[in-house]
Amino acid sequence: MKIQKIYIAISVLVLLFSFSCKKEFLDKPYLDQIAPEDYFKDDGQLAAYTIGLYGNIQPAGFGGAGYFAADVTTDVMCAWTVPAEYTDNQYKVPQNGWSWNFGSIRSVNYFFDKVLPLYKANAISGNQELVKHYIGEAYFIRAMIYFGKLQALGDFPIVRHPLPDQSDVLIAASKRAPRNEVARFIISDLDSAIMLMNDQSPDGRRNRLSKIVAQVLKSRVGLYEGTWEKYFKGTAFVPNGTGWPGATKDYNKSYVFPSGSIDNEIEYFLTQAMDASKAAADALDASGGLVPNTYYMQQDPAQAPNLYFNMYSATNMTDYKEILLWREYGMSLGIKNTKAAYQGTDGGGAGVARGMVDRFLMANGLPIYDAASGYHSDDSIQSAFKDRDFRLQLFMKTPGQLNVLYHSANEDHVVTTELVPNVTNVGSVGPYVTGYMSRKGMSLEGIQWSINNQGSTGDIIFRGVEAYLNYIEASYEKTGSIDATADKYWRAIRKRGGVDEDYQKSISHTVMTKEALNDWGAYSGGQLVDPTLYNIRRERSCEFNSEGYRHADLKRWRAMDQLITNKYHIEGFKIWGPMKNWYDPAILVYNDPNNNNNVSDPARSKYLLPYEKKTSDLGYNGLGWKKAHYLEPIAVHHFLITAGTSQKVEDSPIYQNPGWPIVADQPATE
Amino acid sequence: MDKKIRLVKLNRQRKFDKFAPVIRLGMLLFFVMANVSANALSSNIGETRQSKALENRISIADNSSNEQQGRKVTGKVSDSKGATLPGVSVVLKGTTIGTITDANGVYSLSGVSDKAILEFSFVGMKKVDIAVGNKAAINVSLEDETIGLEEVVAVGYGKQKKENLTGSVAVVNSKELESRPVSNAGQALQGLVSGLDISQSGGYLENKPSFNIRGMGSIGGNSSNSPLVLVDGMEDDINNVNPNDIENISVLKDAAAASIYGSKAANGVILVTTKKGKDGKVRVNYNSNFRSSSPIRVPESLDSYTWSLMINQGMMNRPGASQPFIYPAVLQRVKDRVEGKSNIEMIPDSNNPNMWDMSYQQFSANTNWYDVVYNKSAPSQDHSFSITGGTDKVNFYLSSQYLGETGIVKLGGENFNRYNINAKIEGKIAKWATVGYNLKYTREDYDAPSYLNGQQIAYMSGYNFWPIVPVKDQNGYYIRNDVGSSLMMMDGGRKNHQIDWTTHLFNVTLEPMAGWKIFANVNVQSTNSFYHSDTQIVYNHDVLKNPFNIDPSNVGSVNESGNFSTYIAPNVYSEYSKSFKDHNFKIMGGFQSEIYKSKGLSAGRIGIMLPSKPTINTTSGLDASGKAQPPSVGDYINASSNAGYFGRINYNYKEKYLLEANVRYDGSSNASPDARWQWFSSYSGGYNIAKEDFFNNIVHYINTLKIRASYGELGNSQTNGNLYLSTMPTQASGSGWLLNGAKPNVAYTPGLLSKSITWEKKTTYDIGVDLGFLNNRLTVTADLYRLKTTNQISQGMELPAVLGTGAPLTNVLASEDNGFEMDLTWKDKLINELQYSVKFILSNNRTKILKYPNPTNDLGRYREGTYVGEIWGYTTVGIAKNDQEMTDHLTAMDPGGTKGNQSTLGTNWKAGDIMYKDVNGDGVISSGAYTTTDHGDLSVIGNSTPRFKFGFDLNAAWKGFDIRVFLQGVAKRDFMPWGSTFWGYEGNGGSEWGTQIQKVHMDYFRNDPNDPLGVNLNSYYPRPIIADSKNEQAQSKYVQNAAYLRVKNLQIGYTIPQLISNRVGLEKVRVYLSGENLFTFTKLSKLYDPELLDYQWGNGNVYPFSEVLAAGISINF
Repeated sequence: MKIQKIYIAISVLVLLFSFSCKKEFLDKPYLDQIAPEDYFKDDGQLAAYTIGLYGNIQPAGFGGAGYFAADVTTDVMCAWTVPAEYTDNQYKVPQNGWSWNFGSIRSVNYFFDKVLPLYKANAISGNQELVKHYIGEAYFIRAMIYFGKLQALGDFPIVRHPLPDQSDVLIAASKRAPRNEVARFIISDLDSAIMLMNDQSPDGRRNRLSKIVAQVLKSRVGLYEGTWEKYFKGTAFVPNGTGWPGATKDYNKSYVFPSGSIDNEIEYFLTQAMDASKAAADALDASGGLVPNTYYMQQDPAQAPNLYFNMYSATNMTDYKEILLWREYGMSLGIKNTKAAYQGTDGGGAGVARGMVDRFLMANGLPIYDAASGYHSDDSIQSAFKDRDFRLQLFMKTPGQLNVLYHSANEDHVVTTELVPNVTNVGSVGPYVTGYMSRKGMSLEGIQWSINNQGSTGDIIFRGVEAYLNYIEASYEKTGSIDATADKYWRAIRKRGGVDEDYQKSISHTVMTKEALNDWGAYSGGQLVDPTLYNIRRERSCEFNSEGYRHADLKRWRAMDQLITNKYHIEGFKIWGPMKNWYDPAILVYNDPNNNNNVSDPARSKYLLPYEKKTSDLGYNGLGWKKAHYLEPIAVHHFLITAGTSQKVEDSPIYQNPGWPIVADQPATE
Repeated sequence: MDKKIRLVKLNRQRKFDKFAPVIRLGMLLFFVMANVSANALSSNIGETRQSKALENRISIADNSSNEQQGRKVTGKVSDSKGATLPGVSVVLKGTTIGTITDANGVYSLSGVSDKAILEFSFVGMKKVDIAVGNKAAINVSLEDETIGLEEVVAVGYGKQKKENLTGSVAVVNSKELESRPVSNAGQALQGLVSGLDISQSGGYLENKPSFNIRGMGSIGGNSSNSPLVLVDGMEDDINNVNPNDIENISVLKDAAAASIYGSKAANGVILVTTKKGKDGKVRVNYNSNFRSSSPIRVPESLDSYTWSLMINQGMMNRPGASQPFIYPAVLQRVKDRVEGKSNIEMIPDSNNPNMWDMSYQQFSANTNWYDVVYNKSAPSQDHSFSITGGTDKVNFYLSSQYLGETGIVKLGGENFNRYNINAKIEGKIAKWATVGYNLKYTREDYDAPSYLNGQQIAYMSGYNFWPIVPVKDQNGYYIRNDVGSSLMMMDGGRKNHQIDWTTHLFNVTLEPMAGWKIFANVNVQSTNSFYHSDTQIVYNHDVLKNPFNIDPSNVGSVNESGNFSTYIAPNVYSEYSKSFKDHNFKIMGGFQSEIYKSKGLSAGRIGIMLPSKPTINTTSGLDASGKAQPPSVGDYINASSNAGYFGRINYNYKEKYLLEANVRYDGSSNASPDARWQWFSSYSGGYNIAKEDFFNNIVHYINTLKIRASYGELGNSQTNGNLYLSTMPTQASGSGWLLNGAKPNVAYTPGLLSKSITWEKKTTYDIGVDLGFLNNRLTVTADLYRLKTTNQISQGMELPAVLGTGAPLTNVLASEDNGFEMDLTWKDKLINELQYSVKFILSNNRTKILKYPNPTNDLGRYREGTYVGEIWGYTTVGIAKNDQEMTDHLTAMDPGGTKGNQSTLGTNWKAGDIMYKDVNGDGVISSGAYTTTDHGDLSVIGNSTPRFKFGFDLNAAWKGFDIRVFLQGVAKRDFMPWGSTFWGYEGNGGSEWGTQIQKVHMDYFRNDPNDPLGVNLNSYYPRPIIADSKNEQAQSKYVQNAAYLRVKNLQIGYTIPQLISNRVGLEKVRVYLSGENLFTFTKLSKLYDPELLDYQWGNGNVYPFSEVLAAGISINF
C-alpha cells in the first residue's frame, strides 16, 4: 500500500513535469508581426514604405494657414512678432536639436540597404516598372531631405547607409561634406530618381511622385546652389572661401573642387538647373501647360469659376495639370487641414507687407512709380489694387468682396463678406497683421470652414510654373541674357497673370533705387542688381506670392547684407491715410503711457508698422541682419556628444557655421 | 424566520429603482434605532441586573429555557503563571448570559444548569470551554494566546507560523476589508499594509487600482513595477475577487519572501487566499448594501458675469490687447442673465439669421457645468451571498456577488456591473490524498458615452465648459459646439464592454508518508471580452428648429472587438519536514510553468443606417460623399511563457534560531535566448530572543522579540513585451497620405534593438524586528530596507545625432530605494466590555539614482546621486504691490539695466507681477544651461515624492455596537502645479481658449479702485495675463503642500443581540452605515485631489473620486 502511494505520487510529479518541459517551450516570437527580413518582397510593400516617407516632402507652413503663410520670415509677409533672425540677439545657438538631425535620412537609407540588394538579385516580385518607380521615389525623398539640410546648414555629412549604434563609427560619420558636394549628391539622387521613376504617377492623379517632379526639384537645387555659390563666392559661406570653417578640420583642409574651381561649380549647377527645368517645362507644355486665368474674381455662383483662383483651394487637383504633385485630404477619413478657412480670415496670423503689394506692376507692365503708370494710390486697399497685375487683385483681399459663394449648414465662423481689416482685435477673427491680406488658398465654399476651421483643400507641393521661372533665372544667371526659351516662358507667365507680356517695357522703366526701398530682392551681397535680373526676381516673387518660396530665394540671392548697416522698417497698409476713417478713433491706441498700443504711431509712418507698435517691441528699431544668419547654427549638444572622451567642443569633427559661437544661448558674432 | 427570508428574497427580486435604497435605508435605520433605544434603557442598569433582564426576556420568550432555573457557580480565573485575571468574560455558551471577573479574578454566575457549558474568554488568552456538570466552583487557568504572531500565514508555496517567519510579510484579514462600499478589493486594501501603495487614476467606474510595493523600484519605464498577485495560488487580478470571499491576504515584501516565485515576483507578491468550506453545519451569509456617490474636490465655478470680467482682465493685460474678450454689449447681456433679468443665452447669427451664432464670445448663459455634468448622488448596490458546509470527508464553499454601480457623470450615464460566482469543493479521497476543485467566474459589464474619456474630462474645465456657454439653445435643444459638449455625451454614441473571466483550479495533495507532502495543481483561466463603441451623427438645430448634422463628414461608425485569452499554469511541488530533537528541518522543491495566449479580432465600419441599431451589420460603409470606404479590420495573436524550478530549505533550532534559503532557476519567453534562464537566490535568518531562557522573567511584558534579516536577488522578466525581437511596423490602410481618396498601406522603419539586453535585477536587504508587549496587546513590526534595482532598461548613452534614431534600450540605469515600514497595533478589551483596537502603519521611501548616462548633467534627465522627484524652480520674492516696488526690485537686481533682470522671462513688469529672486546674483533671472553646474537662479524648491505614508485604523465594539474609523494619508509631499488648471489662464503659446477660470482664481491682484471686483492687493495669484507665462514659472511661492489625511472609511455597525436574531432563526445580523472618502484634510489647492496628482490629463483634469455613503446589512444563518 505504501509503495503504491509512492508510485502514484511519483507519477503525478512526472506527468506534470512532462506537461511543460517541451523543447522550445519558451520560444515565443511575435505571431502577428512581420520580421524586417521578411519585408520588401513585392512592389506593394515598397510602395507602402515610401508613402510613409512622403511627410518629408510636404511644404512647411505657419499657423493654421499652412504654406500660404510661410513667407512670414521675409520682407513680404509679417507675423504678430518679429522673426528672431532679424533681431539683434534673439537668434541664438540652441542647446540641442534643430536641423542637425538624421531621422528621416536613416529611414530612407534603411530602404536602400534592404531593397537594393533584393532588387539587384531580382528578388522583388510584382510589376517591375513600379518596383523601379518606388526605388526612384526613395531617391527623390532623400534628395528632398538633403536639400533641406543644404539650405539650413550648408556643409553636411553625406550618409548613404543606416549606421550602427557605435560611438566611434558615428563620430567619424559626423564629418561635414562641403556644400557643393552635398548639392552634387542631391543631384545624383535626383538623376537616379529621374531614371527610375515613371512619367506618370502610379496612382494616376499625381498624389505620388513622377519623373517631372524630380526634374523640377533638380532645377530648384541647381539654381539654389548655383546662385548661392555665385553670390557668396570667396566668403566663409562657400568651400575654400576666406574664413570657411571647414578649413579648420583636417578632413576638409585641402578640399579640391571636383570641377577644379568654384566658377566651374557655379556653371555646373546652373547648367543642371537649365537642363532640368527645360525638360520639366517641355513635359508640362506637352500636357497642357499653365492653368488659365479668366481675369475676374468670381462673385456669383452663376458665374463661371476662375480656375487660376480655384486651383489653390481645390479638393481634387487632378484636373489642374499645372499641379505636378499634390496631397489630397478627406473629411470623412479624418484627414483635414485648416488652410482654406484661415486664408478666408486672418491668414493664421500672417499679413502681406506693403513691399509685396508695391512690387506688382500695373496691368500695363509699368512699375507704380513710373510717371505713365496710371497708378491710383494706396490711400485705400481698393485703389491700390486697381489696374494692377491681375494676380494682385485676384489673390489679395478687398473689403466688400464676397468670400463665400456656396453656403453650407455646417459652416462655422464664416465671414461671408470681407470687412475692413481688423487690425487691432486679438479675439476670434483677426488681427490682420498688416492690413493687407492674401486670400490665395481661400475657398469659396462654406463647408471648408467646418467645425474649428477644418477643411479638405489639397496641398500643392510642386507647381509646373516653377520650371519656367527656374529656367528664366538660371539661364540669365549663367549667360546674362534672356534666350528664346526664357522669353517664351516669361511671356506665358505674364500673360496668364494678367500683366502686359512685354517684360522689356517693365525692365526699361525699372528704377532700382525705387525698388530697393521695399524689396530686399533688389540686392545681392549689398549691391543693387541689374534691372533685368530684378524683374526676373520680381516675376518670381509675384507669381509665388504667399506660397512660401521667398525665404529660400532671399538667402541664395544673399539679399540681406544691406540690413546689416541699415535697418529695415517693414510696413503694412496705409492706416494713417484716409483709411484711418474706417476705424473708430477710440479703438486705435498708440502712444499709450502703459504701452498698450495696438497700432503704430502715425508720427513714425503713415503706414502700419506691425513690428513697431510699442517701444518694447523687439522689432521697434527695424529689422536688422547678421551675416551668420544666412545659415543656421548647429546646436552645442551635437559638438559635445561627438567630442569623444574629452567633452571639448573643439575635439568634435563637426565645425560650426560662420559667425556662430559654440556656446548655447549666444547670438551670432557677426 | 421564513418571513425574514421572504422579505430578503423579495428585496432581491424587486427591481431596483431610485426609491428602493431610501426605503431600505429607512427600514434599517428604524431597526437600528429601535434596538439602540432598547439597549440604551438596559445599559443604565447595572451589570447583573442587565444580565437578569436579558435572562428574563429570554425566559419569557423561549419556553424551552424554562427548565433553566439553575444554580450558582463561582470560581477564580488566573493566568498560566497563577496571577489572577480581572475582567475575564464568563458566558453560558450559546447565550448572552454571563458575567465578568472582578478585581480579584473572581466570578459568580447564577441560573446555571448542569448541562451548561461555561465559556471563559479574555483578550490575549485562549478561550476555554468547561462543562459545568455538578460542579459548584470552577477555577480556571487561561493560557496566553499570542495574538497575531501565533497565526499561520500564507507564504510562497506553503504556510508558515508567523513566529517563524524570517522574511518581510504583512497580513490583512477579512475583518479589515469588511463593509467597505468600494468597487473592488484593491480599493479596500489601500492604506492597510505599510509599504503597499495603491493608487487609482481617477473615478471612472472601469478604473482599477494599481499596486506597488516599496516605492518606485524600476524607474527606467520599460519594466513593470507591479507586484505579482496570486489568488489561491494562481496569477489573477485581485480586483475581480469578491471582497467577501477573501479569507486573508499576505503581502510578501522582500526578496527573501518573494523570490520563490521567481522573475515575475521581483516587485513583491500579494497572496490572496479565499474562504473555503468548513466542516459542520451549513452556514449562510448574506451581505447587502446600498450606496450613494457624489463627486469630491470638484472646483467651485463662477457666475458668468464675474467670469467675463476676469477673462477680460486677462485679455487686457495681454501685450498688444486693447479690446476685451467679451464685448460690452455681450457683457451687459451676461450680466442681465446672471441677475435673472433676461433669459437670452444665445442669439441668431447676424450673417445668417436662421442659424444660431455659435461664437463663444456671443454666448451669455450662466451655466455651472459641474452641476450639469456630475450627479449629486449616484446610486449603487452590492449584494453577496455565500453558503458553506461539509463533513469530515467533503466540504464546500459557494458564493456569489452582484455589484451594480452608477457613475457620477450625469450626462449620458455611466454604468458598471460585476457578477461573481465562486465554488469550491474539497474531498478527502483517502487518508493520504485530498483533491480540490475551485471554479471562479467573474463578469464585468461597463457602459458609458463614447465621448467619456480623459480628454472629455479635460474639456470639462476647458472652454467648452465656460459658464457663458449654454447647455441648450433657446428652443431647448442640447447644442454641440465642440468635442466636449453635453450633446456629444448625450447623443454621440455609447461604448461598452463585457468581460468574462472563468477560472478553474484543480489541485491534489498527497501525503504518502508522514512529513512528506506533494502538491500538484493545474490552474486555467480563460478571459473573453467584447468591446463595442459607436459614434452617432449628432444634430444641432437652427433657429427654426430644423435639425442639421453638425459635422458633415460624420456618418456614424461602429467599432467592435472580441478578445480571447487563456492562461494555463501547472505547478507541482513537494515538501518534507523532519525534526531531530530540537532541530527542525523542512525542504521544499518544485516546478512551475505558465503559458499565456491571447487572440483578438476587431472590426469597424462607417455609415450607421439606423441610429437605434449600432451594429457593424447595419452600417453602410459609405462616407459622406457616398463613396464606399473599406471597413477597418485587425487581429492580434500573442503568446508568452515562463518556467521555473524552485527549492527552499528551512531550519530552526527550538524555534529560536531560524534560517531559510530559497533558490529559483527561471526562464521567460520575454528574454532573448542568450539571457533566457537565470538563477536567483535569497537568504534570511531570524532570532526569537523571547524564547531564550533569560527572557522567562519578563515574558509577560515582552512576549515577543524577534529580529530578522534577509538578503535576496531577483530578476524582473516583466518587460514591456519582448525587447529582443525586431518587427516591421506596418499598417494596412494606415497612411494619412491619401491615394485616390483612400488611405494606402504604410510601413515604417524598425527601431534599433540592443542584442545584449537582459533582465533588470533587484537586490533587497531587509532587517526587521517583531515585538509583542503586555500579553501581545501591543505589537510592533518594523522593517528597514534597501532595494537596489540595477540593469534597468532605459535609453542608453546618448549617441551622435547622425545615427538618426534613439539609442536602443539597454541595461543602463540603476537606482536605490531606501525606506522603512512600521506597523503598530494595540488591542484591548476593557472591563466594561469595550473592545477596541488601534492600528497605525507608517512607511517611507526615497529613490536615488545610482547610475545613468547623463554626462552633461542635464537637469531634465536623471542625474547620478540625486533623488527622484526634485522640483526645480525660481525663488519668489513676492507680488509687487505697485509699479514702484517692481521698479525698485528690478533696479536692485540690475542697477545698470544691462544685465537683463527679469527680461528673459517677459517684458512689461509692473504692479501685480511676480518679483523673482536673483539667487546667483548675476543681475538676470535665468535657468542657465539647465545643468547641475549651471542652473542659473533655479534651485530645488521641493520634491514630489510622497513621503511618510500612513494609515490609522481605529476599531471599537461595545455591546453589539461597533465603529471603525480608517484614515489614510501622506505626511510630506510637494507639488508644483502648472497649466491653466492652476493659473486659470494659458501661458506662452496658449490663448484665451484654454482659460479655466474657477472661483479660486478670483484671488488675483487688483489695484484699480474702479475694478468691479474690488481691490485685492494681498492676493494669492499675480495679475492674470493670457498667453504670457512670465508670472507662471515654477517658483517657491506656489509649491503646494500636498500632504493630506483622508477619512477613507467611517462605519458604524450594530449587531442585533443573538437573543433576538435567534428568535427569527438568524445567527447573526449586523446592520451598518459606512462612508467612504468622507473628509479630506489638506493644504493643497482646492483644484486638485491629493490622490490624483499623478494622473492628470493634459492641463490637469481628472475624473473626480467620489464620496460614498452606504447602508448595509450582513446576515448569517
